[in-house]
Amino acid sequence: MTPETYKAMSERERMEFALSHGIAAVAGRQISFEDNIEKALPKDTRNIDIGIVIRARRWMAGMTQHQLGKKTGISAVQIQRYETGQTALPSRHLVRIARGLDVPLAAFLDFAGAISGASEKGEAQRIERFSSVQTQKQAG
Amino acid sequence: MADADSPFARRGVKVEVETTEAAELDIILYDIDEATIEKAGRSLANLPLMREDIRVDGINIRPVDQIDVAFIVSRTEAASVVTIIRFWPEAERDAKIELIKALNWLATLRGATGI
Repeated sequence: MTPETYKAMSERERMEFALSHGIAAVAGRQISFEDNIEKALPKDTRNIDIGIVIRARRWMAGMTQHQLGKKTGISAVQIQRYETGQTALPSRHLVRIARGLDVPLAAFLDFAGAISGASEKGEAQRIERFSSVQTQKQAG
Repeated sequence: MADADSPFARRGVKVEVETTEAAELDIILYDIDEATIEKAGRSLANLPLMREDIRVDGINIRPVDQIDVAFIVSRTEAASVVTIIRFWPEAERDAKIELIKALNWLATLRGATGI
């Protein structure tokens, strides 16, 4: 696209171009979220890291494991295993869980990366605090 | 691109910063100078995610010298990759955020990647 064409576009068209073309450019770098989600995750991400994020997101959506299971076609027992890090999470299930919770996949990548990475310890602490509050609420 | 003092460099993680075509066109459209682009790139390379970043539907926005930098962070086997999707003047932030929300970028992502 030429700068002139870009300039002539409406702001909405520019944003659409940026979002669709931008993400497509990432896919062009062989980082397709669906196919290579394990590669997109930080190397040292543990099962439990992403499990914490799934649980936090599920609570934020006000859903039980059973409800999320019904929505995603994954059993509640299996979701519980993912949340507690007992079982590795296949990318196809993460995609379904993201859809079921209506959150972008990037949310899982960002937060799981923040937990296992050094860049955003605060986020991890925030989620842990959130988890602890929710656990207390459930216990109470 | 990360400095030796970067937390990522200390952890042995290489960080790559790249721009999309739209971001490059924004540089021309808004006449953004090289110093600002360099500063934005260095900031992202040193710390791809900051608590101060604004997050809208999975997209991060980092203000750098009155310019907002919209980006996403992903990971390859070899490096963390920061992809700058757009630049715009800080004064246009609210309008751009509303637009991103309205477009529901997740739908766009699904369409673009076939998910």
